[in-house]
Amino acid sequence: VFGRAGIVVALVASVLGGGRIPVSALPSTQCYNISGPWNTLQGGNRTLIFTFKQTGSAVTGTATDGAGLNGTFTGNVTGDHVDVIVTWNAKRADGSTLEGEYEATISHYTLTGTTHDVANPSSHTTWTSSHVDTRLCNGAPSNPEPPGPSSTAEEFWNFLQTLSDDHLLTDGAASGLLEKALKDGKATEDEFESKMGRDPDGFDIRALTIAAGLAQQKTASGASAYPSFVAVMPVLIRMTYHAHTDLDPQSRRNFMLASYRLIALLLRQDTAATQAGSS
Amino acid sequence: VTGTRCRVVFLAAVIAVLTAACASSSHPRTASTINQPLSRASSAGITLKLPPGWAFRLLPAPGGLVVADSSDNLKGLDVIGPRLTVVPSTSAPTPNTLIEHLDRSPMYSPTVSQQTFGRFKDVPTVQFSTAAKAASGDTIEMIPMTVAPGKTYLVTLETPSATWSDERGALEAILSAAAINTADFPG
Repeated sequence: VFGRAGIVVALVASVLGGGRIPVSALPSTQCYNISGPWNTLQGGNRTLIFTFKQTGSAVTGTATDGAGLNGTFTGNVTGDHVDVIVTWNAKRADGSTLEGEYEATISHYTLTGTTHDVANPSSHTTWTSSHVDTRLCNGAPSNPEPPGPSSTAEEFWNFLQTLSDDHLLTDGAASGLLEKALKDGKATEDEFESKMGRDPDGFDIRALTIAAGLAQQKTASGASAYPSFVAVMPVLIRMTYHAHTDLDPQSRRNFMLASYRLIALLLRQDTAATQAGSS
Repeated sequence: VTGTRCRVVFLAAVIAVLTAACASSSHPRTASTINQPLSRASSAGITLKLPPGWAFRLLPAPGGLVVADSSDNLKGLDVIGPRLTVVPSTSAPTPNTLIEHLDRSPMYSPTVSQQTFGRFKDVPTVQFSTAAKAASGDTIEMIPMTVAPGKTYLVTLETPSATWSDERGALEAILSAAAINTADFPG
């Protein structure tokens, strides 16, 4: 990853000279084709699915909450901006048909913008939408930025390295614990992925696997060897769920890193308690 | 193998619940009843000193305890003031139970840190809010407090987010001042 990024930087620098990129060389606004279904969160709590069909700059489609609220829409896409008006199968208080205008900026995998009742522009709220296969106007895949040093895989490696540096997983009697935890936590991992699917980011849920495995470990007397993992498994599962499904990529990463940190602290606490009990 | 493990875990859970029920049988049957204005509340080896006017209730199982600033704030899904819940952690739930009962309500701004509560140092804490806006929804702090090898209480502190900064200190002070008798920890 570092090598590829370094080569790209070096090539750009050599072509442009001096490493400075003139404004005229920066890419202009991308042109997108957003056809397909988009999982949408409106106002922080309403989930909808927008299905777009784009022909040139014109866009039509349907929207639904899956529970009886349905709408159709028309609009247009201009560069990285989409604007549609949805006619819902719902009425306003005065009996008129509810129409909502939805505007958003398009980026890799994401629409982010605001919406308002056409008859009441001050009623605006935010909406964000995700889609796994955003395309450019020429049909080519819209690739996100190449993963840098803060990719999920690297964060996970750093997490394991931290545990190792602190002698939480590799020292003395704990040798082999990681391998055992991964094995014993596999059922939880499988259950989670069977219900939630695999993460579009390639998020590595092995941290959850480790936590679930540790929660099952017992001492010689039959007591829980890592009781705080037992206590917080519902919380860790929930954090992993949000790391898996949140529409905002930054939120997904925040939840993932928070769960790594929590696991490290829990392991430190339980290891100290176990040592206190055995001394 | 998974089925066997599930049966074992289920059996352990049943034993834990029965043990908790037996342990509390010497006390009045106060489960789910609301008590006030006693100055102390106790369950499963932990005793909390309550500020004046606070109320408490015991959860039916397994030895859980809820204290809040008013009796109206002991049961609602959304808190209307400061509330503290303690549950002794005794057995790991099975993977399918965990996923089936997953709480999918929103979480925002997860923050993980560690704090000192009384004589217990470096205790992990997880804090998050239930609304994107800073002063909306509830703020929740979850604290797995291990008091002895194999014995952990899961403590939850909750307040409306608008008053979290004012009331957090009082909730954490209750936990810091808790008297703990690990011999009474269930299981």
